[in-house]
Amino acid sequence: MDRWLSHIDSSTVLWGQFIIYTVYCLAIISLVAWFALRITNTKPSWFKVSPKLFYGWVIFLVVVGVGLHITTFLTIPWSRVDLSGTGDVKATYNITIGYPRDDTNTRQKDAQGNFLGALWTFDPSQLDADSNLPVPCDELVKFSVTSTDLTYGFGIFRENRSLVAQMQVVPGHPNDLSWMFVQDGTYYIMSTEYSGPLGSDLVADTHIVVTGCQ
Amino acid sequence: MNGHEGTFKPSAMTPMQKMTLKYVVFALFYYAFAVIEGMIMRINLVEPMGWVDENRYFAMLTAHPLVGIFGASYLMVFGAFTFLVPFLMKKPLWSYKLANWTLWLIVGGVFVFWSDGFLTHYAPLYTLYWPLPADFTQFNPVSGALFILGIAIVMVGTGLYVLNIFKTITYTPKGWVKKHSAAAMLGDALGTTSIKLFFQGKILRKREFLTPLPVASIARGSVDVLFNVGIILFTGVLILVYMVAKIFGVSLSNTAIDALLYKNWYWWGLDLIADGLVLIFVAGAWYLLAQLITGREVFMAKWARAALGLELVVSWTVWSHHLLSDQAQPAALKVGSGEIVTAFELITQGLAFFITIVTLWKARPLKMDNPLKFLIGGLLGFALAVPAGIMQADAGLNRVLHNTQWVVGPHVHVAVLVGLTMTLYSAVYFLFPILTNGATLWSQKLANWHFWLHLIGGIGMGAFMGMAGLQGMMRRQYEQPAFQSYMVLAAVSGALLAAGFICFLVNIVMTLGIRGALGIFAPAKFSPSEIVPGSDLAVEVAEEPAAPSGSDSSDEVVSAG
Repeated sequence: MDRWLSHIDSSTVLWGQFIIYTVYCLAIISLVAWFALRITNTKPSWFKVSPKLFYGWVIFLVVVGVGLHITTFLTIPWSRVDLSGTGDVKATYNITIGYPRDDTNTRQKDAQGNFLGALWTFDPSQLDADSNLPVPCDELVKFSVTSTDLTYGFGIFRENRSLVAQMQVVPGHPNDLSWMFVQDGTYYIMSTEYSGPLGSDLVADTHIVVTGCQ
Repeated sequence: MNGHEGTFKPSAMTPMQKMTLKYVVFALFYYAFAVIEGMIMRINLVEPMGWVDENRYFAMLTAHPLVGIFGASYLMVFGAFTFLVPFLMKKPLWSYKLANWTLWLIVGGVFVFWSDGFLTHYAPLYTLYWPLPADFTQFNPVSGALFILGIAIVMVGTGLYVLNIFKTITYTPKGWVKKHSAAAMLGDALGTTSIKLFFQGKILRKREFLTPLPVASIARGSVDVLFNVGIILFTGVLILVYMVAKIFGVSLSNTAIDALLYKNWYWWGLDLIADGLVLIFVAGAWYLLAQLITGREVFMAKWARAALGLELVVSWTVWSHHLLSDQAQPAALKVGSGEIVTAFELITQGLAFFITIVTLWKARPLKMDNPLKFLIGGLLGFALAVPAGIMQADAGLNRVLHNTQWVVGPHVHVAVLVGLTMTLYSAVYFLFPILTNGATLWSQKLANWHFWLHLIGGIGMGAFMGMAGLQGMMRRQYEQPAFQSYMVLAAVSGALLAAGFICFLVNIVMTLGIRGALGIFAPAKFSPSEIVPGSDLAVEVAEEPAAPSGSDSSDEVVSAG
C-alpha cells in the first residue's frame, strides 16, 4: 500500500466527510431559501430553464454518483484491501464472541438463574501479560472474528470513544477485518450491532495496544 | 365545539371524504405514538430515566419505526391514494368496502404489535437479524408470535390496498363503454408499454398516456408495496414456525437458516420500502403537488415518467448497501448493488427534485401558501438526506459509518421527518379544503409555527445525531454518556418537532371542532361513487380522462419508462 495513503487515519476521513457534507448542507439550504424567495417575486428573472440544463443536470448527477466511489476507492486506504480481500497481512488475531456455554454446549446462567450475556474471547497465546492484545503499528493486521450464536459487530474505538473501524460479525461465516494502525495508543473493542437487551453494551475487557509508530 | 366559523359540516361529506379523513385521523394518532416514544428515547439518551430500563428502551426502539412506517406513513399515504386515484382517473374506487378493510386491518395490526411490545418487551428491532427473533433466552415465544401476528395483519390490509388500487386503475365501471383493456391500462401505468415500444423502435413516436403521471407513480410504487408484503409475510411465517415449535416444547435448530442469506433476503424486502416505494411515492406526490399548485404540466414529464420506472428497477437491485460491512458478502455485490446501483438513487431522486423545482419556477410568481411551503420543505429534506445516504453506501466510508448515529440521523430521520412528512403535510394542507368541503383553517399563524418548528426541529435533530455519529456514537445502545451534549441538542430539536405537531393538531381540531371530528365517524348519506358532493363518478364522463403528463409537446424525447 502506498506509504502516504497508509498514513491516513479514519478520523481524518471522518473530518473530511464532516467538512464536505456541512458545506453541501449550507449550500443546498441557501439555494432552496433563495428559490423560495424568488418564486414569489413578480419581477422577471434572468434565469431561464431549458431542456439542455436538464440534460446537463443528469450528467452532473451521474458524475457525482459514480465519482464519489472512485474518489474514495483511490483515497481511502482500506477500500482497496477490503474489496480485493488481498494485502500483506503481518499478523492474524482470532477472536470469538457469543454466549458463554459449558462443556455440554449449554448456556450458562448467573447465581440468580438468569442467562449470562455474550462475552468476547481471545486467543490467550496472543495476549500480553496484562491480557491485552499487542498490535504493531504501520503493519497490515487481520482480526478474524467468529460468532457462536447471534449477529454481533466488531468495533475498534479510540480512548476518546471515536470509531476507528468496524464490521458485522455474522454466525456461520468468516468475518475478517484487515487494518493498519497509524497511531500508538490503547484501543478498545465493542460490539457495534444490537444483539438483544443482553448484548447492548458488549465491551471487551481486553484492549488493543498499538506500539511502534514512527 | 362546532369548529371554526361552523364551516365544517360532516353531514355534507361523502363516504370517500369521510373514509379518507379517517385514514388521516388514525395516521396522526400513530404519528403521535411515534413522536412520544421518540421523545422518551431521546430524553433517555440525555439522562437515563429509571422507569425506562433496557428491556423497555429496546421494545420502544423496536416499535418506534414500525409504528411510524405502518401506523403513520402507510395510513396517510394509502388514505390519500385511495382518494386520489379515483379523483385523478375520474372513475369510482373499485371497492369502497375493501378500502375500509384496509384501514381497520392496518389500525388493528399496528395496535396488536405495538401493545405486544409495550406489555411484553419483545425487542428484536425492525432488523430482525437471524437468529435474534428466535432467541428464546431473551424473548418469550408467545410475545414474539403475537408481534408477528400484528405485522401479518398489517400486511394483509396492505395487500388489499394494492388490489384496490390496481383494480381501480384497470377496471371499467359497470355501464361504461370499455375504451381500453385492463392489460393496456396496467401496461401504461407500470411502463411496460413504453418498454415494448422502445424495443419496437417506436418510443420516439408521439402518443397519449392512459394514466396521469401521479397515477403511474402510485402504480409503480404499489408494485414494491406488494413485493414487500410477500417478503414480510414469508419472513414472518419463517420466524413463526420457530415460535410455535417452541411454544409446543420443540427447539428447532437456529443454524438451519443461514444468517447472511437471511440478511440479504430481509434487506432486499425492506429496501422495497426504504429505497423503493417511499422514493417513488414521494416523487409522484411532488409532481402531483407541483401540477396542482401551478396548474401547469410537469417539466420534462416523459423523463419524469421514465425516472419513476428506473427507480422501480433500482429498488429491486439496491439492497446490498446494507451489507457493506458484512465481510462474507461478495465484493461484486458490494460494488455493483451496494455502490453503483445505489448511486442511481441520487440520479432518480435528483431528477425528481429538479423537475419539481423547475415546474414551480416556470410558474412564477406563486403565492407562498401552506402546500407550497411544506412542499419546498419536503424537497429540501430529500436534498439533504439522499446525499447522506449515498455517502454511507460507499465501501470505504461505511467502515466508519455503519450503525452509527450518522445513518439514522442525517439520512433516515431527515428523509422521513423532513422529506417524507413535510411532503405529506403539503398534501394534507392541499387536500384539506377538498376533503372538508371548504372548511377554513382556524389559524394561519399556527400553520406557520407548524412549518418552522417542524423544519428546524427535523433538520436540527438529524444534524446533531449526525455529528455524534461521526464521533463514534452508535445507533442502538442504551447508554452513551460521552455524547450527552449532542443528545441534549438533538432532544431540544425533537421537542421543536413535537411542538410543531401540537400546533398542527390544535389547528385541525379547532378548525373541525370536537363535534365535527366525531362526525367523520358517523355514516355518510351519499353513494361511495360520489367522491365530493355533486360529482358522482359512477356517471361516465363524455371525454376520456386526460393524462396531463402525456401531452407535453415541449418535451424532446419520449421515455422508455
